[in-house]
Amino acid sequence: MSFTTKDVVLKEDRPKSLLLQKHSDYLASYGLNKDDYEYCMTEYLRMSGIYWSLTAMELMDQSSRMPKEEIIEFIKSCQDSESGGISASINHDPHMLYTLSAVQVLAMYDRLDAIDVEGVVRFVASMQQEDGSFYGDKWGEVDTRFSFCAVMCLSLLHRMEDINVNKAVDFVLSCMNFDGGFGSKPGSESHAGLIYCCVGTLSICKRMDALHADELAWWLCERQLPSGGLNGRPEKLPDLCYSWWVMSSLSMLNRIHWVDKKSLEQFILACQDAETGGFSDRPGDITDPFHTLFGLAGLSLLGNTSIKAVNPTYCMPQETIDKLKLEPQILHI
Amino acid sequence: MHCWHRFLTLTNDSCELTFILLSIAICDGEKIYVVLGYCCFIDFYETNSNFAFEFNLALCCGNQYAMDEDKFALVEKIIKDIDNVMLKNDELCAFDIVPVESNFQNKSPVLHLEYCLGLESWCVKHVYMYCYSEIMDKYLSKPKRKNFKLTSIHSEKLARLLNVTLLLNPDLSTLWNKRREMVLKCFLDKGSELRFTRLVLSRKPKCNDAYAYRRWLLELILQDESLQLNRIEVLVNEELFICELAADKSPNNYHSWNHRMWLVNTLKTIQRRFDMNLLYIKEYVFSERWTSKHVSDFSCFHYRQFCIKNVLTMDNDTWKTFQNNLDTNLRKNFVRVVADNLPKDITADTSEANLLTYTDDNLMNLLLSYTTKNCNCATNNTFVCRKLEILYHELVLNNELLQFYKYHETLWYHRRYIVHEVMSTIYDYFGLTRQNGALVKNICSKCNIDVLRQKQAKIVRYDSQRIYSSVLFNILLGHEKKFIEERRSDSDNYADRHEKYMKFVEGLNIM
Repeated sequence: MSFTTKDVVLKEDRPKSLLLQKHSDYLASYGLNKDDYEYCMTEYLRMSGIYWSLTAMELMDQSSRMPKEEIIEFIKSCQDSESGGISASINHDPHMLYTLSAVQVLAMYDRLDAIDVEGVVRFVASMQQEDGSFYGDKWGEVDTRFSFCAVMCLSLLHRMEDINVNKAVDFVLSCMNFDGGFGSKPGSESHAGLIYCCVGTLSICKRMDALHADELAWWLCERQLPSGGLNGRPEKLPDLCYSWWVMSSLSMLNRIHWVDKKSLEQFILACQDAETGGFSDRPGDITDPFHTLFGLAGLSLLGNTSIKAVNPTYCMPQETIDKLKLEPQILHI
Repeated sequence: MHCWHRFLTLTNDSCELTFILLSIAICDGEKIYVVLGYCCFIDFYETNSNFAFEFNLALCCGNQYAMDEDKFALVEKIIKDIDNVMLKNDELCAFDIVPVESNFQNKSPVLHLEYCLGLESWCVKHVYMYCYSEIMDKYLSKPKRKNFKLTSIHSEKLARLLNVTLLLNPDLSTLWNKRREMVLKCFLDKGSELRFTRLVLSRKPKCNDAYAYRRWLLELILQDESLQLNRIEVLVNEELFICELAADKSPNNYHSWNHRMWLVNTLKTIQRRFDMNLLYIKEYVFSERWTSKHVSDFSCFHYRQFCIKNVLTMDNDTWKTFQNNLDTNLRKNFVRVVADNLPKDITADTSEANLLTYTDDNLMNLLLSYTTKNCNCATNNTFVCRKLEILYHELVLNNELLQFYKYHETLWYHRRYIVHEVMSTIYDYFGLTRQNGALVKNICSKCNIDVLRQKQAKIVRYDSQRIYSSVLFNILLGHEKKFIEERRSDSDNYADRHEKYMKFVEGLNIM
């Protein structure tokens, strides 16, 4: 056929086995040089960086290689005493994204006592609007990502009663499109990353019944390309992180068997860098902690037993979710 | 002994800047031998970049950028140069980093050509590190922040640093927030802030923080009740233009199309004397042109769907204007598809010419037959007719694009939307909605809900039979069948996929 699908071709000399030791070494040494330009350029998302690295280490059972006490001290110093929210780094502004990352990290360390929990709850609740949506911070940008941040954060703190859950669900449902997918706002284009956020919100709020499951799962499965990798929207290149956004959503929809697991696994493994360690978005690109976490979490969903079980809703180790006695909903077929 | 010979020609199309750089460097351990000639320059491209910078500085001794004692002075000079260019040029509209691996003789790394600002890449790291730490240490550190009173002198210095830092790294939300605070305190002007953001978007057309900041600014500006109508129009056109540039630079640009939708939706709420209908028409026409040239970009097709929804809200008079503005006759196109696909057992004269004489009521009667709905609200046949005309126009356009471009997932995906909407229109006509594969009766919000609730949920076979035997339903099915077969014979794999989707998701057995 004369046309070419936007995709990549996996090379014969690609990594074919899981290089756990390499990944653990990569994450352990990541960011050791704090005067580094790259480190400075990414300081605005440091808190999420810690969450990605720590979760990846937890899944590999190597979290002891992370500087636990230093991280907890850092989180403490990122909480804003006034609003209660947590920022990406010291002297940055508090935001829902980083408040969630901080709470996830502390939940994994079982050290939620280290921060002012009341402050966090106050911050998250104050972001909810009349229509049920959430701001990301006081400047008023609305996005379904922030709805997910809110319910995930409060459920980890067992404080869901502090927000209007029904309204939060209604807002998310108002973002549903004809194809069963979701975007960032009502009327926005369906996008696999935002679908994960919306399905995750409904999973935590136990309202999975409101989804148009067959339409949505159909759309999600069509993200798989001939290389085995998944894209986030039609006619886009495959990207490793969509192995997580798409697969976790399908997992919550109980339809993970709708994709070809074997070719996806090959794609994920091909995204490893055998020299530096870590995973990248596509085979041959530069690795980073973000893609490293989603590569490992994706493999865990696919049933790789050398990685701990990951919870598809929270993207945290299942054992942490069990310990917190959380039961995010999975759709029953 | 290592030896490098490099000849570089670097061009940057958007800025139309061209540099020719010839460099020869000889390095032996820690000793450096320099060969410098006309248009020749030492380049330590392949060595440690910090070292290269120090080396550049040393080499620049004697010219205005050489400050051995304090390399920060050089950075300060660069910041000032950037500021000067920005101050002098209100119309500046593009910024980019120009790949030049080392300092080039006695020249400032700040480049300025017409409406474009450029910064040579060799100094970026140093400039960024300096500006970022200055801001964080002097203006944003917590103990100082609380009691810090921003004066105008401070604010000018801070604004210069924020400009440079955000041009180099526009993902720093905290710095955008600082700008917001400064706008509220009138240290920054809203209009020039819009211009600055445009500069950022010229380099990073997918930067959501920049769009979010524009939204925030525009909301502030539009709040002003005394704002003149022509001023609103200028702002709107500028915003549409920026979205178009960004969509052009970066395909499937989620943020720019989202921003465009936000703009239209926001104008709906302020309305006043602003002519929304005219905007709907303009955007409908624009999106038709744009989608036909960007057949792999679903984001613009999604926007097209938004435009379709908007034109359907127009009143009768505006609809007439709208039709006159199009270079196609919507009714004629629709009737042609109807005439070409009518089931054979129809007895009436259904030639295209005759169908054109039908009133809206007559046409709907033929296509969907009179229906007894489960509520007392009268069906607006004119509205249903319009909707079908628009959707069939879209379907015919889609046919043409798929026949011409072939094998495009985006085009097939858009087709799903069209068919879905036609089906929803039919279901709605019969007072039904399809939910998770089952038809349920609609609850009419205008009629007495309690009585209807009892009737609801039970959907009898009779209702669905009436739909499946309606003329319009069979026209749709017949048309899809023909099209799928035609595309399949042209080896378009997506034709099979379309058929399956229609069957399993929309519940339509086409073949």
